[in-house]
Amino acid sequence: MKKNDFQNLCLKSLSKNISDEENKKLKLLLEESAQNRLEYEKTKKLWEDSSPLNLNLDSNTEIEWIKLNNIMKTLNEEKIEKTGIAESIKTFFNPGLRPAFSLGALLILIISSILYFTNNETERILKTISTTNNEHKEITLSDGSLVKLNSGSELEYYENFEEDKREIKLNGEAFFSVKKDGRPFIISTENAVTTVLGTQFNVWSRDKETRVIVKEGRVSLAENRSLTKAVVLSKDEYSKVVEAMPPSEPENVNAEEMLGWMNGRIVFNGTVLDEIAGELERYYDVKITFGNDKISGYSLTGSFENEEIDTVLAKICLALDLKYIEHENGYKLLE
Amino acid sequence: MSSPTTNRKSDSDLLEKIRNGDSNAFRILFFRYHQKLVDFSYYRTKNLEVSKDLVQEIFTKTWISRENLDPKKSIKSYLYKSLTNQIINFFNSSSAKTLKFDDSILRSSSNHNDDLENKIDIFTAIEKLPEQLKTVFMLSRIEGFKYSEIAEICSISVKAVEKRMTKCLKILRKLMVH
Repeated sequence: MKKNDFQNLCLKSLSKNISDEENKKLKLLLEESAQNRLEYEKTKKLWEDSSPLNLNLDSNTEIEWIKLNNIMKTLNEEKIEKTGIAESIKTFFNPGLRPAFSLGALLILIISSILYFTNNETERILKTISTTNNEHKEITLSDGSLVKLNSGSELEYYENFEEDKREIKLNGEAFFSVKKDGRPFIISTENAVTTVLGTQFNVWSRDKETRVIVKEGRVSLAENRSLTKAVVLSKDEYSKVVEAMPPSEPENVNAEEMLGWMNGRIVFNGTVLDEIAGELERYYDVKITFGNDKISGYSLTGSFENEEIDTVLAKICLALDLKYIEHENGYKLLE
Repeated sequence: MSSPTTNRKSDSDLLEKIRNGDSNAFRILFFRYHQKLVDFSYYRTKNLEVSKDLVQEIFTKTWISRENLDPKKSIKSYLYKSLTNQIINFFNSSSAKTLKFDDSILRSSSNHNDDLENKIDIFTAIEKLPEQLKTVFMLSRIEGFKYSEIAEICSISVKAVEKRMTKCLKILRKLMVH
């Protein structure tokens, strides 16, 4: 018996790869000589010493799944683009909000709507909920998640979510309290995709810009077309996607403070006047214009709570050394 | 997360569903093996971020080629095979540096009653094994794969697995004498 063969048997025994016959052979060899027994003991010691380490690695399986799921979604979309209309019709009945939202799917939608009413399997009802200026809405979704919709915003979703994901489309601003139920919750905005499992966070999306603030838990944010480059945001973190740029580095913020809109507070943090005007227009349902373009680029930090529009404008003008006048059913800011 | 372990489906059930594009089955598979694969990758790369990326790569590739998965073969072996190749590619690429185990991870681990220094010594020795031997040894010792499974993962014969294992033993014993 060669030494290698003996060691092979020892290893097979230790790694539980040994057959009954080989085991008998090993036993005999061990009984045969003290040298063999010593060899076996040495090998056994080495085997035991190399037992797996308890690594306790934070592998972030949930977050990694969210990222992977995003990738899978993109791959799916690419496939649809390649396979064309026939496939798209199928997808319209099967999963996804997607075709209903794309312009290219308009034609398909017409064809599909005929089929829709003749096909009993399709019980998925598309819902659209919107708020006018100076209006808030609270919506409870079929999975128990809660959405607070800020003024001048719109939500679109299928009332019954899919088996493996919950998808919703947002234009405007909303605060989400998502119930954890094993399925990822995906918010599509014009230029970004926000994915979570169960948590509280705010999404603001207007004019090809999407901003996410996390109040609790973790959220993944990615630009529409490069979903693999997602950032993961934790409590009190903020990131934004501007047009087709990747998400900005997460910044620390005070979510409670920043999300004052739910309590009737308007919070600005280095916000440009152009955007402030937009927020005020939605909040007070008034029209705000500027004397010149330069003014619209001024920025301001501060918050307002349950104040008259006149007071708010007066304070803004004081801070920025401007004046305001009433103008065509609204207000105009001047130098 | 609703526990994927309730109503546990066998790997081959999942494989069948994944082949038909069932993303929920793929999710169950992911949750079943993700942590183990990241750990295995970490043994080799010593870097958590790299490990997670490598595992993400192989799951992405698995999903893309789901229709071509062999229903008769083990999906677990397939995942480890992909990961092993991915790790080799990583070490062949310029971004790879030979890294060391983070001592703090070892020291903070709760379960070694045995001599920690000895443990560090042996894993340092394993580190010095040639790449091919290391893979075989780790698959057996760390992951508990059968020789036949290792043969499948590494695309070698069972005899070759046996040979590599005894060779590992020889080298490790030599290294551990010092």
